Amino acid sequence: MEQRVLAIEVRDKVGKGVSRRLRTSGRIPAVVYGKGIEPVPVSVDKRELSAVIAGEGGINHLITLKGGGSLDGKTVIVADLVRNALKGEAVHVDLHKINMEEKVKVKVSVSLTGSAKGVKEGGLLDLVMHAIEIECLPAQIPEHIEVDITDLAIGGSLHIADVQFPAGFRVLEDQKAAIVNILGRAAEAEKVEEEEAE
Amino acid sequence: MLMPKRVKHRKQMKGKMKGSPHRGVTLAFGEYGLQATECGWLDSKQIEAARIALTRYIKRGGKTWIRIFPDKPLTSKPAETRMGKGKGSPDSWVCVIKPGRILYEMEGVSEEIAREAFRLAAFKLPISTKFVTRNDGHEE
Repeated sequence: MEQRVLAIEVRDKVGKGVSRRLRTSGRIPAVVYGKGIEPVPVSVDKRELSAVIAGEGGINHLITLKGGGSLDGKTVIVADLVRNALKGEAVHVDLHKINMEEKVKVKVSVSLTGSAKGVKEGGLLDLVMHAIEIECLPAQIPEHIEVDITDLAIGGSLHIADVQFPAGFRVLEDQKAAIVNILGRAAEAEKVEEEEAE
Repeated sequence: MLMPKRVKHRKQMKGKMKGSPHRGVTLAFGEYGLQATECGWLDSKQIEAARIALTRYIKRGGKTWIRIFPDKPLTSKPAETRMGKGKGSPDSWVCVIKPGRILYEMEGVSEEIAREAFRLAAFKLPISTKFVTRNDGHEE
């Protein structure tokens, strides 16, 4: 996944009053923390942050910090993003400093490929797991995990164990957990039931 | 209609509806959702009416989830009763809604169908709502 750049400014004042004033001025309060460093309160530009987390990778993009004294050039990942419940705008962001040699835990969105056989027969595609939690090296974080559903028939399910993950990935979900289900009854069974009802 | 199987206390005080919800503000199951934009009480009849409006429009096409549950009892006194003589008897069940709460979710239909189904369902509710999708930043 591509590495993006985010400019930060260290803030010396913390608290809700300061944070509210920051938000009205178009900036978002944030904090940078990680192994070996003390947590540093910073602020980021709202538009810049939106651009950094935009796209398919979302909050999983690797971010290189610009500015912020000793934090300049450090690589971070968005560990937590608090959004306004109604507007969906970011209210606060946690930036986690990572080591490129150490594995990180991230939730990667599921992307379905192909059209399921069961859907063509009148079934309903039920995506149960929208994102899969994995552990891998930061450089290996994928934008999405592709899941092929072409062979899924009505009543069929695709589980975590059925998906081939690249080497070096450790899946943190239950192997028996379903990713996709095709709901509904086969057309023949429906026909028989309708005839019986008549 | 939705109601608790049993409760610890039959009658409750009115309570307040200030603040924002801490949970239930993101889409957890479906692709589309109906989000409350103001606070209020939704009773079990309104929740059911909106659910019926939703499922009638999408027919058998999609899957819906109800994200709220009416667990607060409301009491009422019989008609033409003088005031006093204690609190009335339990009458209905309501759910306390705060702005931002996701009320319903839907999956398995196109966005146009979901939008129209939620528009029809919103007519059955006493509070203002809005249509949200996973792409709006409302995903978990």
